[in-house]
Amino acid sequence: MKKYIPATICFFILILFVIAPQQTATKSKPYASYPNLPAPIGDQKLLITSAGQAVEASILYSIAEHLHLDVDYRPRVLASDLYDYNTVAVVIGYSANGMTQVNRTFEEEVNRIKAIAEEVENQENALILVHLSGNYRSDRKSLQLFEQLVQRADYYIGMKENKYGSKIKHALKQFRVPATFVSELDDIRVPFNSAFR
Amino acid sequence: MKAKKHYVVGLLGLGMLIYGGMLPYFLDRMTAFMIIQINESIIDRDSGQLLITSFMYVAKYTVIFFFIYFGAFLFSRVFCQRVEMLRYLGCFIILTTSSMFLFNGLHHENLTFQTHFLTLGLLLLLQVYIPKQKYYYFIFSIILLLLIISMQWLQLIPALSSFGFGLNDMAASIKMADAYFTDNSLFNTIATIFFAAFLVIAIIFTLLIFLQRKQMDTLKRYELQEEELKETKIALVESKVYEEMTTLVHDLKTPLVTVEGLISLIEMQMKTSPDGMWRNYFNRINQSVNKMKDMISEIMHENTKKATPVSELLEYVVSHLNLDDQAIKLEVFMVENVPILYVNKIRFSRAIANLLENAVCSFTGSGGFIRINVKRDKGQVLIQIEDNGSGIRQDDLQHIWKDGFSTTNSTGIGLSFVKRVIENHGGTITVNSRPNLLTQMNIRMPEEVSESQVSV
Repeated sequence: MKKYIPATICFFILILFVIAPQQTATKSKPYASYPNLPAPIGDQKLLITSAGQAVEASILYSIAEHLHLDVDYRPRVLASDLYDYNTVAVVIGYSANGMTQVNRTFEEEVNRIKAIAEEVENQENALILVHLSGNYRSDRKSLQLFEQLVQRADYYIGMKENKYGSKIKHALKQFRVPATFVSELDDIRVPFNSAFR
Repeated sequence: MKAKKHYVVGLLGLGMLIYGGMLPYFLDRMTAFMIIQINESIIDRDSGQLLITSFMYVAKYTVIFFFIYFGAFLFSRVFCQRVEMLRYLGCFIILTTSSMFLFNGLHHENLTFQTHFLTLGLLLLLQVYIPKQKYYYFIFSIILLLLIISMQWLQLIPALSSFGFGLNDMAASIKMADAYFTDNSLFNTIATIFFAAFLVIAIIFTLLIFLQRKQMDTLKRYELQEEELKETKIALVESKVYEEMTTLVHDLKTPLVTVEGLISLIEMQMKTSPDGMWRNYFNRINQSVNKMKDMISEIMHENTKKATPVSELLEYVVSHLNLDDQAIKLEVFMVENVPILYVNKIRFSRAIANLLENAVCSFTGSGGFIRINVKRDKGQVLIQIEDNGSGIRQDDLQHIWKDGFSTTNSTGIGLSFVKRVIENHGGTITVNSRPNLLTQMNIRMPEEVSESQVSV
């Protein structure tokens, strides 16, 4: 029996790892969200960019194209490049591999995103935050990116399932940002379309 | 030397561990290509392209984790030499878990520990069934490889994401892309099939190795039992032969007593006759009968020993040796003043005769020489029997004294009998042989052996 001890210990730790997050998950307070916006907030032409360089930004670009929006997808865009656009959608999601490919540190990415948000505000254009990754990217860096943008956002679309759900909702409430939470990725079409039409 | 080997293996393991940790830096282009592929597959809604990317993902992380896990396993040897010991496996668990922490810290991959502990648990469970023998590390590495491939596919099963499996950057990207255009049905199916297939292969492979080892053990046990049975059979045959011979010799005594009695009777009748010739004849018959009686006693009672000159022994043996029709030259060289041996004449002569007969047989029809040298050497009497017959192969030299061993389809008890007789007389026998050149049997007997020194 002694020879099975190491394997048993590993399985026991595994069970703890699986059970612990389920036990510690706290239900966030009820939050009054919109199924979609009652009136459009943004004009075309739309720019989609990424905060954190995760691949989800491509998903939003694909959705926007299917909605026949006048859209550009520029994940590495700078604040100085926004003169041509009336609305900016920022897809939040930190990807270590994505960051390596753009040859940029996380601090530089945060500064780029802050500068974009400020420029959008200065131009009095709409800033839409989209957080598609839900629990897949429930990390501190993604949350940090969200926190940099939320105060200047005009609309937020995110997933219902998120480890930092209560923090996100608290920030949205604090800065009075209208928000829509969806269960599936595909459900994002309607609220996103409602921002323009 | 052995400890040095452990350190070499340990250092090799450390090298693999470090290389595995650094590997993502070397696979930078592959990572970039994978990100481009995922982006393109999303924009083109191409699930085939995403599937190819998932194969690349599995390949990349399999290589990385194989180096980390196998490196840690080898490195554990520095801390404990025996694989089956708990300390070894404890070191392995600690090393791999620390490596995962470092890997996460270095590459910010957000690897979760669920998959790590599942891999470890399964690996440590399966390794129990790997035979701890020559190819242990090789078999372990194959099982580890299969398990890691299986676990990488497990990371890509979206249904398990809620339990913390596959939340690392690249797996999350692939699963989100899949969620967008197939609602995760593609990867829930494909990844589960691959995960299950590789896991089953790993388990079956382990079981096959385990069963094969069991089968080999059973075969070995059977071989040993067969050998023991053979030895017992030989001993039984030998004891039967000995028993029959003793009975036969004993039976010889009865008519001999009758002959002796009748001769005495005739002698008494002839006492009146003054014929000296008859008396001489009767004396000689009586002497022969007494000699036969002594011989029978010596055969029947192994420990009956008496002082016998070596020359008498050799004369007795050589006179019984049949060299007719053979071109064999037999020479006896004996130095003067060779001490008298205290032996059971019949048995000792039989032993020498066995050696000579073997020498004669080794010529197989061809000619040659047999030389008997007798001399004093290092306080012992050395009897050397040399011949230039076919000789004994080096491989057979260590087996010739065993009961039942024979290269000529004989009973195989001749040389074992020789060794036993010589050792019973406090002597030793050794053999040197160069086939077809010279074979030398060296019998060393102690000088001045008294009755008390001979084993009873």
